[in-house]
Amino acid sequence: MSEEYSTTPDEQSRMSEQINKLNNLLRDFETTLNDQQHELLTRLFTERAVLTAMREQVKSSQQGGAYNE
Amino acid sequence: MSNARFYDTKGVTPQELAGSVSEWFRYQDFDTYMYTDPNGRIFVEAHRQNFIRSILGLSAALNVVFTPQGENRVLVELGGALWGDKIVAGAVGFFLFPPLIVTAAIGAWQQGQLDEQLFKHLSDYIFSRTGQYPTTSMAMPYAPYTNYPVTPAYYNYPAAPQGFDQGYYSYGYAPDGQSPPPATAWPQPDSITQKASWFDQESMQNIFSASVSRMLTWQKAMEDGVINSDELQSQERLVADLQKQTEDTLNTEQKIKLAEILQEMTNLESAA
Repeated sequence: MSEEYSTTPDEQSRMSEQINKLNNLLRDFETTLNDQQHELLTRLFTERAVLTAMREQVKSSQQGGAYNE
Repeated sequence: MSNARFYDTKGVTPQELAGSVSEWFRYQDFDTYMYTDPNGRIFVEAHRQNFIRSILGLSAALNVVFTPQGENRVLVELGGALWGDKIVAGAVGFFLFPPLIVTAAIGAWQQGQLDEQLFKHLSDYIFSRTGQYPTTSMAMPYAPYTNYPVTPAYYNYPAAPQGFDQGYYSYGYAPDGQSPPPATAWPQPDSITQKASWFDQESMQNIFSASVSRMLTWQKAMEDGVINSDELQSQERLVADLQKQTEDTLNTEQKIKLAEILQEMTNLESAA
């Protein structure tokens, strides 16, 4: 595995803030939705996460099979 | 344990099978350790990991347990603290770096492949020794094993028969002369009325990335282990269509909030 995922304490702190910000936005947003909106957004966010995972997989393959050592 | 099967071993002893599995792991650069507990269960532990892979939820670790079930029959369980817990491992990384949890989904998929390869090795080994492929059946967990990692929490497991402490029943035929309990039907989707929250109740993190490995789009794209450009573009179109479809149902204020959330998600991903 490459070292690209190494993070410093400052970076980790900044990311934690970003995560908290995103989660707070999601919590607030979730309370405003009806069932249909909630279902659509759940699908949207999850399929978006799938897309991100696909891009990660492509990137790792191009970097020489990082996941296969 | 994440996966278990009963094997009709055709006369090959559990000790010999365990030894072949240990060799199989070593051939693939795993470190292995084998021991037998006082109850006669044979454990093969295999590890191949480094620190970074462990943090990312990609460490490969597997315990295989052979439990003799009388003559010519053995229960083979794949499991262990790390096996089948890729999402949990990923959740640890999530606190540091959310995009990393998607790599845990990749790790889970890779271990699923290893799972199948190991079962195939066992069948091939028995064939090479006896000229016959073994009869196998899925070992389904009894009620106490409700944390079975690939099954939704609302699945109702049958209760174990009185005095039956093995933890599994054989799906398809009776273990040890007992009748297998009937499989409980899965609930129809429209009977699940509770709206699932976007947040895991224990970690308090959102569940989207952790759900990747269960999505059909991910499973289909990863069938051959490779994501090609067509699959990537197809997923991009799906996300764009879903976004438009969703936005059509939102009022102006909600659209602004959604745009802000999507931007935050992009920011986190680009930080990777």
